[in-house]
Amino acid sequence: MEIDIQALETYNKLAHDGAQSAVKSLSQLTGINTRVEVTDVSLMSPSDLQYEFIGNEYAGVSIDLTGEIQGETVLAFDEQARTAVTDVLVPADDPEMKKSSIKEVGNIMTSGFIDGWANHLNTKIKSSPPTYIEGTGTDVLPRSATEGDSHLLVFRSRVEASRGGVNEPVDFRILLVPDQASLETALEPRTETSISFEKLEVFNEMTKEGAEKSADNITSMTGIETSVNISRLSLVPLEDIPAEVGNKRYVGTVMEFEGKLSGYLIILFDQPSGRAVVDSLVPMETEGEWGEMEQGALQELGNIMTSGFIDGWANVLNAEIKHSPPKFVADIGSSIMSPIIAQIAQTDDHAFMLDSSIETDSDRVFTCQMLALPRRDELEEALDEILIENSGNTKVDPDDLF
Amino acid sequence: MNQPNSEPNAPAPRQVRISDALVGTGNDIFKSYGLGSCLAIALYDPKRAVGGLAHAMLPDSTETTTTSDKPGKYADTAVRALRRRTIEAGGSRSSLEAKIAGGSDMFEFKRLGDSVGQRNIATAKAELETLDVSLVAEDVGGNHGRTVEFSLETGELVVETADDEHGDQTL
Repeated sequence: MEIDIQALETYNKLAHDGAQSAVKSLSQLTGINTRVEVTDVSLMSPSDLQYEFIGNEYAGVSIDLTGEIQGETVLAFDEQARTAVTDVLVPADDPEMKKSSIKEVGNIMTSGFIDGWANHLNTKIKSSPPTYIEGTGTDVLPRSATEGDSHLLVFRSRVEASRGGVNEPVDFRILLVPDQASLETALEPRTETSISFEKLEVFNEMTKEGAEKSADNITSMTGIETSVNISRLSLVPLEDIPAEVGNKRYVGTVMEFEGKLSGYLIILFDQPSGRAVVDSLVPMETEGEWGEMEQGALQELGNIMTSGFIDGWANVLNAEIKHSPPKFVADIGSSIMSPIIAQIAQTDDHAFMLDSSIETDSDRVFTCQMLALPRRDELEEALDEILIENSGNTKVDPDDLF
Repeated sequence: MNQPNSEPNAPAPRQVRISDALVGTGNDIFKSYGLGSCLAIALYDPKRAVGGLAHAMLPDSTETTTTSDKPGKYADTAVRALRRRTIEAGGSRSSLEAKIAGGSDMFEFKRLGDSVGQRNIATAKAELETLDVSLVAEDVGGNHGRTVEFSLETGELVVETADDEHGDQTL
């Protein structure tokens, strides 16, 4: 299936506007001030999507859509958001009433989200009555995200709220997973900027494999057992990238890569994980902050992780991709990303971002985020030229695709 | 740690994200996180307690190939938009003052070319001069990120840094 990138951008904008409209409804109903942090459209495997919803309890609604856009949409409040909403609407201790208030709010918000799409397409999108959902992982995900193993195109908005003068990490997510047939219609190429969905899938798959090599490299150098839990390819408005990374303090490295594909690779550890890595690489006692020795250790690790990551791309693209020596960074995520975003913003409004999260399996105490921002025109060109024989080293069977 | 706005019913800071330019008055508080090479531009009329904050990413609106409907994206258009909107909100053009923060060189790369942070600072200063707005305080450059909070009640721009070396300061 060929998909039109400009159409994808337009739909992402609709999802953003829809989310704005949904949060407006929420504010009117509950007085809770909210803002849309991120809206992106991601290509991800069902298992990666499930992983994002594991560990936390969610409650919300699921609604089936029919008409020009067919599929499922889910609005899920995290525990704090659910409490915030029900505290306002149902102060009494009445679980059933609380449940129906979530259902009602979810339904109104989802209508706001969908209306923009219907208006844009100049058509009607019919919504089923809302189904109340509650739980974790697959309990709160669209059915299409739990069946089958082909990649899903997921429109996601993450929203944060503030209450009583304090910004709280109260968040909820709106997911829209269109079914394959309506995607084909909606994203049918109308301009020259089309891209093969299946090739994007291959690229995402090989990026995940690259990230897995990087995780292996962390393990072999530090002894910390890590693996890749989420790997997704997103088309994201540049202005949303700082919120994707977050306002936490990170330590890590930034690299520039060039060749058939050029762009930036950013490896970010949260502070305790960065410290754990350095402690295992530098055997002697060091003086607190990030001195020369600590920086050197992280750069060395960054170098090895990057090679593992980029080699997978180079193999499939059958071309050399070189990377610069890593630069050490220690700052808030958005500060680190800002010069890179500024550089891309000179020619584009959106970027393809490959986002892999490396974590310790058991406790998620250790986290490392690998972000790659390839130049968009080069990525489109490179995907165009992917050859069947070179994609043989991925898990996806090329005969099914090309 | 003390939360400056943790008393009940206090206004929560409104976030000024990349490319945004917000104008307000009274007890509004604006906040921009993780500026890096971006530049925070605060314009304020101290007599009328009205002003605004922009979070500019690029220096010059005429140098890019993309079109944006957000004047806050570029340092030059951000200054113009803030000035016009502040005057529309009751500010006086003769008493406007500016404060700027950010514009760091987070790291150097070949393709990043001349520091975008430095160019953001230079462009904002030039535009302020052209429009005859006096720059009364700045905390710019270096290679560390900053988070700023702008109070429309006092006109204070609090600059926080992620490292202990530079500390926080009030402009």
